[in-house]
Amino acid sequence: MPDHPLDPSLPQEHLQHDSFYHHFLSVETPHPMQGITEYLKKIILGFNTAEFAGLKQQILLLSERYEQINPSELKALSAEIQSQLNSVEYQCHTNAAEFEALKQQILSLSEQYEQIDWSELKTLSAEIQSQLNSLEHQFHDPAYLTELMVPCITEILNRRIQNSKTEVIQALLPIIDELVRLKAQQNRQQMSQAIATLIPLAIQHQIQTSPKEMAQAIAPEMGAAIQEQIRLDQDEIIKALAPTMGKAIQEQIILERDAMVDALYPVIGSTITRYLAEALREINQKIETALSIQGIQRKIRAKMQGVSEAELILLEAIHSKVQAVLLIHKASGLLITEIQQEGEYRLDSDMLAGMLTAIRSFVNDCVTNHQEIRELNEIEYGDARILIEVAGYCYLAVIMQGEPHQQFIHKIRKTLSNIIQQHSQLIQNFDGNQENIPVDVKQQLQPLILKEQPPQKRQIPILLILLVLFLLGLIFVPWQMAEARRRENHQAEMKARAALTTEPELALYPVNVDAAQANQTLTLSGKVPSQRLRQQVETILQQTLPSWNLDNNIIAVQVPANPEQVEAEVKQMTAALNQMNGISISTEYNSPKVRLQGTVIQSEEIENVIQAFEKIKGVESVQSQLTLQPFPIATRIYFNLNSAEIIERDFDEKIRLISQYLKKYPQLRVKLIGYKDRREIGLYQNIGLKRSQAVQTALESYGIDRRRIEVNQATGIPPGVTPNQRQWLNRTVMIEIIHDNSNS
Amino acid sequence: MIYKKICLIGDFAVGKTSLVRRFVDRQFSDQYLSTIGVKISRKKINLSSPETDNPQVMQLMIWDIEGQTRFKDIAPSYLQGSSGAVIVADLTRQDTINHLPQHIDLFLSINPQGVIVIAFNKTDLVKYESILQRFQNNKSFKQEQVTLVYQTSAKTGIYVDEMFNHLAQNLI
Repeated sequence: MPDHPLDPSLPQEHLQHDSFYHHFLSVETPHPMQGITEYLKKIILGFNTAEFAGLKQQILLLSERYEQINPSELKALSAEIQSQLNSVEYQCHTNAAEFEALKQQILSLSEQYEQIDWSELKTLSAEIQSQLNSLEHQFHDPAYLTELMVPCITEILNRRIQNSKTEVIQALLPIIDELVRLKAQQNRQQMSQAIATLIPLAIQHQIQTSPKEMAQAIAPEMGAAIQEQIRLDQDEIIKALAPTMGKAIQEQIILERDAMVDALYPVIGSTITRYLAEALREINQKIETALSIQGIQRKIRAKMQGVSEAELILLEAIHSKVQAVLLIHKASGLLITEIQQEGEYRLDSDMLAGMLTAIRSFVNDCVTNHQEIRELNEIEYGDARILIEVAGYCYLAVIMQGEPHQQFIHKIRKTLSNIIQQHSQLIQNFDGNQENIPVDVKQQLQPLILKEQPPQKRQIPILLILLVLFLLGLIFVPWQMAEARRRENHQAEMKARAALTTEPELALYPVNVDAAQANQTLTLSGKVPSQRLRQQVETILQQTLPSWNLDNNIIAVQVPANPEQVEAEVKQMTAALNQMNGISISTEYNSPKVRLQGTVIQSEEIENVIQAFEKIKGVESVQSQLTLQPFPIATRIYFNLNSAEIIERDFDEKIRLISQYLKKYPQLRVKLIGYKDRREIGLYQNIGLKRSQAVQTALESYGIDRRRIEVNQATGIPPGVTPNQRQWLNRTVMIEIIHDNSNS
Repeated sequence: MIYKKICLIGDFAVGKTSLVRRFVDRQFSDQYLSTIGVKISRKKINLSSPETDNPQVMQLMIWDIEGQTRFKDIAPSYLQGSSGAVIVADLTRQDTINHLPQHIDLFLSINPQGVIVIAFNKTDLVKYESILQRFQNNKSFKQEQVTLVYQTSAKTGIYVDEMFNHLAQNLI
């Protein structure tokens, strides 16, 4: 602990050291504080840390001393002074204004502390003043100052930064940009090199933190940058963009199709329009010629010659001849390559190329408005024409005579597109030197010079012939089959009709037989009076044509018959039947019934008679009271052994009756069959016949015509006789009535 | 065979067509017929290259473009593909000389690599001193691609052939 400086007992060195006290003591100032301030003013410009520390300490001591008086206020005073001095400690210089402030502060403080023991303060201030004085000198010396400062600076800065970073930053802020700019001006390279390594990372960081800003920053000059790149090395950009071009366009189309359309329209629009127009024209032409006679003729000719129709069309334009084909560079009008027809007159092709280009440019610029791009397609003069097919950097001019056909135009286009695909770069950069163009290009133009093609070797059109035969066959065979079937049907019909004509009843009621409909089926149609007749037709036809089906559409019509007519018919039928042998009937007609009465000889006759009446139109039912009347007389005449003589008694009993019967039925005829006994042999072999003859004679004697009697003999036993019966039964003549089956 | 396209550009009535006629047809006529659109002429030139012995033949396609101002829009498409240009001014008309830079710029904008020759035409009508003076006044077109400047006269034929030949030599 150093000696207390205000202790008067202290050695004088302390006081005499050019200190503040000394000054304070020595200076005769009206006001002690004024002295202090004067002194401070003088020395405040310099300081020495050590001395300052000493000064500080002194003040502290002073403050301690006067703590009793007014500890807090003094503390405040001392703190105040301390802080002021602290601030001075770190300042390199100050100025009058600052000092003024300091002065003012001290003055104000002084006013507060009048009561303070000024003498002591004077000493203190003198001390302080002296210290500060020494510092002042030092402070004025910039070299000394600098040397002083230099070791401390880093320390100061470090400590400051540790303590309060932001303040340092704030302090340095205003000058940093100036620093960098000036340095850059001074030495650009160095500065750029220094920053260079940071820049990529910096950009990365920036992109991470705020990508939009980055984009916005670069964006305005992106275009110029790419342009620059294109100028330097076109291929790089091309290679970079090419892979995504297609997708990019796709994407754009998805996003905003119209923009794409608008972008491409000037180029494509007119092309499409033109092609559409051509296609329509082609279709129209095709429709016109397809069904025209010329078209059909051509098709036939094409097939016959085995040549495609297209070639024929081409050949048809026989006047069509290509004189020259020129491939011309679009921009300069220079001729890239050409092909001309041999012989005759050679076109001045390079002049033509130039003029065509000039005309094309003129038309494009003057005639069309600049929104669209339209191209000159064709120049017609007389019967010749120049066809122009335009691509990106070149165009083909075809000078020809005659009408160009669509196929030819296709050919031109295809040739041009091939050439472009293969040699686009060469063509684009064509500089007039024809040797740079490969021979291949000229060769590709060669096919366009149309010459008359020799017709192709005629192939035997086997296929055609077969086709024709097949077609004919297709027509012919079914026709024949139809014919055959028709004939078959016709035959069947005829046959059926013939069969039906045998049925006389159908003469009145014609039945139509139609065989044409289905397979093997006869269709019957017509009207008949009764169901029975209808059925009968069917039956007949089934018999005649058993293999055919019958479709019976005959209608059985119940014709209401005229009752008088029917009665007449019934009477007629009765009379007719009565004339038949063995039938004796009478009929009664009560519409529509017929009642039969009478006798018939044989049972079959009953059925026949009934049927006969049923057949009459108008007769619905027949009531039969017909009775069977067998032969009323004995039918056998017996003889004695070996005799052919009729017994007398029989004449009266049998012969007479038989003759009476026969007279009753004059139509009847009889058959006599003579039998013999088995014992009658030898001479009496033919006794049977003799017996029959005897009966015949007997009957004749009774007035029966001989011709009504048939005589016969039979061997064997007469019917109904058994061998073990008496022999006399065998010696007989049977009388049989001969039926006349003519009642149909 | 090498083909090259060159254009003649300049204001109207400076003598472009006359120059071409003099060069191609070896003729001159005082009559003024305004060219409409473009007139294409052709001239075969035998080039002698000192390196190789074989003399090369070049076909020069000369596009004589009309000078009327109202067709300014069309000229660019005619200029396309040109390897070189002859830009003509009339020594008797100062404004044609003043318009030279515009023509040069137009041509170079379409053919940045093109070769330019400037022809101050109608020297036969102008005194020597004033030629010099005018020439001094117009050094503004000292661009790399202007190879040479000629003072020609289509009427007398002076420097016409030289100019075209020089241009042709420089085209390869």
